[in-house]
Amino acid sequence: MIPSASEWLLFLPGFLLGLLVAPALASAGISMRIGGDTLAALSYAQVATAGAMLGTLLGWAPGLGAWALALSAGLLMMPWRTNAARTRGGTTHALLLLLLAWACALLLADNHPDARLLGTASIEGQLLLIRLPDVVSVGALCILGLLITIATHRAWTREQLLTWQRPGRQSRQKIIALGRETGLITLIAAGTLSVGVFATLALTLIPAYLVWSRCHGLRSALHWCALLGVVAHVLAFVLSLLLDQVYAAVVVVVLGFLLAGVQGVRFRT
Amino acid sequence: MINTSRSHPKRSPDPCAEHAPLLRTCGLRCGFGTGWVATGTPLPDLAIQRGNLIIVSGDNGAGKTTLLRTLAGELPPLHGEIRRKPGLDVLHLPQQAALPRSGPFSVADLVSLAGNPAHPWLPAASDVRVDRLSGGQRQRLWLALALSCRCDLLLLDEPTRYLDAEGRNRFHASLQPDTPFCQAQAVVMVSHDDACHAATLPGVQRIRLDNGCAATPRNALQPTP
Repeated sequence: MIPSASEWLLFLPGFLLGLLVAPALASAGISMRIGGDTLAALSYAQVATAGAMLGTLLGWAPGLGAWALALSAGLLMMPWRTNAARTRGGTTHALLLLLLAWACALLLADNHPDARLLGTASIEGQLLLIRLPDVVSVGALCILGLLITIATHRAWTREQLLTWQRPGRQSRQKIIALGRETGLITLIAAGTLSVGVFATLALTLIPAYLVWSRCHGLRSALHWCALLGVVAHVLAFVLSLLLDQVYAAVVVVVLGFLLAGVQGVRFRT
Repeated sequence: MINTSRSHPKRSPDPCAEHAPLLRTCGLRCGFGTGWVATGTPLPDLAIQRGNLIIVSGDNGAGKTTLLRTLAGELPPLHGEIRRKPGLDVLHLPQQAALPRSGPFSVADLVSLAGNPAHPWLPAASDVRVDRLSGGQRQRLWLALALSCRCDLLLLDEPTRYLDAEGRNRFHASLQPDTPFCQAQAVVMVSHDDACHAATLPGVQRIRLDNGCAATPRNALQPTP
């Protein structure tokens, strides 16, 4: 059933928010892939869900709870993540965090009806029916995350790609890593509160995977990721409305089709 | 001065204060804390000053890399002390620096991240992905980026590995600290090539590590005038 013009307007805030969140997450996927920690996106999204639930129970805004808990978990995990990256060992820490956050979220959902509602919304995503105040708060969170990520991107990428050591600059490197982590976690929290846990993972994982071996430079990879994020969001949004399906599932399917469709294609700028 | 002493008593007065060395070592022994000592006897005392080029050679396992890591501050000395000029900016290019890393990173990306250096060894085609370069081309790229970085002390660990004979010769012939080719103020380089051209240049200091011992006479390591 095709929605009427007034119904399209009803969904406009969610659509506009998606235009901000989807390319931001897709571009952040490049940074996560450089750091070898894409799986951490899933863990932090799950922690953000538990945080939103906890925030609701404490009378806070869900966004604040999601951001605060995900950020706390991220900063606490930083020493382990740094060591894991150094030894290229590292997915165990992310999986442990995921399990812990999932158990917390399940316990909260089982003991409070509001937490259960939030838990369902975090799986399905609440972009289609998101309320205007939530659009503002999630949008602000996303913009904050983007600004921090952009501010730290160059310096952090330099530390990752130029594999020489400057022992005198270790404290500076730690501050940069801290900033980068804060930016990414803020973006993931915004994604969890809007498109849901698994759509957040799909948006950080698939566009970056698509461009990784095809683009000829970092800048073009970031641009292509953002474009793929926008295309996936627009297609998924329209299809989910037209077919009356869950947005989060549709966006994963759309990204899957994009993945299959661009095999053998090289991206140039 | 930063004192990283572990067990060696403080020395005073400083005999080289007038030369203001970038880095000085006194009675240094390097190795790991697990009991294995790379350089069993103390190394001759070093006073690395602006313009110095020091070549460290020796057999496999002699402790060349360990010495470099200790000078960089990545490993604590087992014995003795290292005194660094306050705010000393050390750049350490390890052996594995140029290992291939897949990803959408072009030569231009790395050049822009390194601060837009201009170096004759940078590849002409800047839009080439780094993981599509050969081992030798990648090593040249990393060397060009490191050599064009302004720093006080550049530590190079086997920089000529993967380079062909011509590349090695050109590198050794051009390696002079504080020049457009190498913007570091002083260089310590590990090399297996005892007969490399750089070793024949005037003012070059050499350390040879044999079986974990520094074989070079102490007086061969005085600062270049």
